[in-house]
Amino acid sequence: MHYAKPLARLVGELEKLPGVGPKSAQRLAFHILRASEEEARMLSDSIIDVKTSISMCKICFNFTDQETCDICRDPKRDRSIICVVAEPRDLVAMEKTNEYHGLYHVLQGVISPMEGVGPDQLKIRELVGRLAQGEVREIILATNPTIEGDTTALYISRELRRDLPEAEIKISRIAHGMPVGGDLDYADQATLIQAMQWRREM
Amino acid sequence: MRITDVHLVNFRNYTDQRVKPGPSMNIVVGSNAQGKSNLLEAIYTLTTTKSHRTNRDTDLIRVGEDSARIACSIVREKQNDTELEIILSRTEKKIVKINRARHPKIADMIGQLNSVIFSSEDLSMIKGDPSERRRFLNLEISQLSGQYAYALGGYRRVLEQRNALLKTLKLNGGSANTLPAWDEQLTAFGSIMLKWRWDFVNRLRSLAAPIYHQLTDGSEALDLRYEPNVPVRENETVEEIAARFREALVDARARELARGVTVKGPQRDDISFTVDGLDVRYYGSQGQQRSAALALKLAEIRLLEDMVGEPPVVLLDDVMAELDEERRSHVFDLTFGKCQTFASATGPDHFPPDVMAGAVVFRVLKGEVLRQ
Ligand SMILES: [Zn+2]
Repeated sequence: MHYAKPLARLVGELEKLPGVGPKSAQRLAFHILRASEEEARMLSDSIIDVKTSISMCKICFNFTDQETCDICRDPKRDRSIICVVAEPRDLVAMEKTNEYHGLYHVLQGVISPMEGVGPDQLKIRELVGRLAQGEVREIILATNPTIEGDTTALYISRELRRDLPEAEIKISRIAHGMPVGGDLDYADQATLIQAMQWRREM
Repeated sequence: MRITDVHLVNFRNYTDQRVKPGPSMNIVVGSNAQGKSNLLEAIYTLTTTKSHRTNRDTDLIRVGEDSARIACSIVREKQNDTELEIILSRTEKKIVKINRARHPKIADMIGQLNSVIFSSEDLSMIKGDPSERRRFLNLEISQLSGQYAYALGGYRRVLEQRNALLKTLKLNGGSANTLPAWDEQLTAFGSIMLKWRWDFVNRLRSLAAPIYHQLTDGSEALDLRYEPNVPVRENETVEEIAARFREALVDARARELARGVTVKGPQRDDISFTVDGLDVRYYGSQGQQRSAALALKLAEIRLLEDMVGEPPVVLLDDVMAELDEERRSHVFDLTFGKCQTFASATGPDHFPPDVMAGAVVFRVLKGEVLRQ
């Protein structure tokens, strides 16, 4: 198929987005082409805007357009408890439950040697720094119950336990009952294995 | 247990094929590459949700198609009739259905249909690489236990990650402080595998010995033993095995860091086969190795019958021509009239007259099955 160069370029750029195949890239490109210039400009401006104005919260590493995020600035939040998640989208999922009123810490990934990700590439040192300030009494490790998410939680709990005695801080893991994704198809078999992994920590 | 209906859509070289097998012996004849083995493979896939020939589900989908569907109806002695269905896709996750209801947990499928497959590769299992004997353990125990299948999947992923870490540490150095967390994971999954393997081999051991005795007309005695890479003791719990596995990893730490690979664990297990004290893996004659493999497979039929309460379906995949007349007659003695059997062969010559008389013969030609 032959497109005029600018159109081919737009299709090419859209195809790079996750979950967008050649067909949907083409559909989106034609949609944009048919839209008014104002609509098109709003889309392109919002893309540039998100890149220039959004950064990571200096405290929890959630996305924010200020120094610190809405949650860290909110005085009604319980500052004695931190929920540790892998990605900002996990924080959003947790917020949707409306059950949790503490603070967060976004690791920005999970440990995965195959992808070259170790603890130093994650915001683990920063988490330890937050705990050293002494206000936090409880940590909830809420990384996803995949192999890598579990290993990351195990690693963090071991690191924290080494420095912080049980009396000072409570560490818990929520993974039980959550859907297991990826290549592990046998979710209900996880209980025994998790019980073994966490036998010392809990 | 027996299959009354098989339906294949876009599976391997089939487009849309229905087969209504007979209750006893089903002989599937045809030249090579026409689809005989694919039919048996479909039945085996309905047993464990995975093929015995490939780890990639997409290999099972007909070239040029997006998805494949395999289904069967089974009749069991003590339970209601069941319909099983698997839908494989190139883009979506695998779907399993039991009696037309979708089950989000694929493990629910395990144990619905039990089958033992015997192919020519199994005959070389004894003299082959230890990995072939571990493959046998993985396939067979996964069929018995969803917990084992789960542990195996998790173990493989942890092992890949842990080996990637050890390799990086060897090449680039750096901190090994995440290793203890990987050890926890490796031993949690691995100890379940070790425990199941220990129990499974010990049960097979007592069943295979008398069968081998019979196969050799009482002249030789077979013993098989599990050789776990991490020692397992009688009546030990998974927690105790995991503790010993963790110790073994700590002891092997320096060696693992120097070599950049995991050196301990069930990925290094083996099964030993001895006949009159001689290790037939290395020193047995070809006849002894084949008889031992055959005894193992026939023992497995017994084991499944013991554990499940009725005989499994037997799949003999192009194995008749590989066996001499005497071994063939032992196979039929133990299965004919008892287990519903599917035997593929290039022709009907390897089947004794009494077996032929009670058999349904199917001819496979270019992905089409015709009842004769
Ligand atoms: Zn924040």
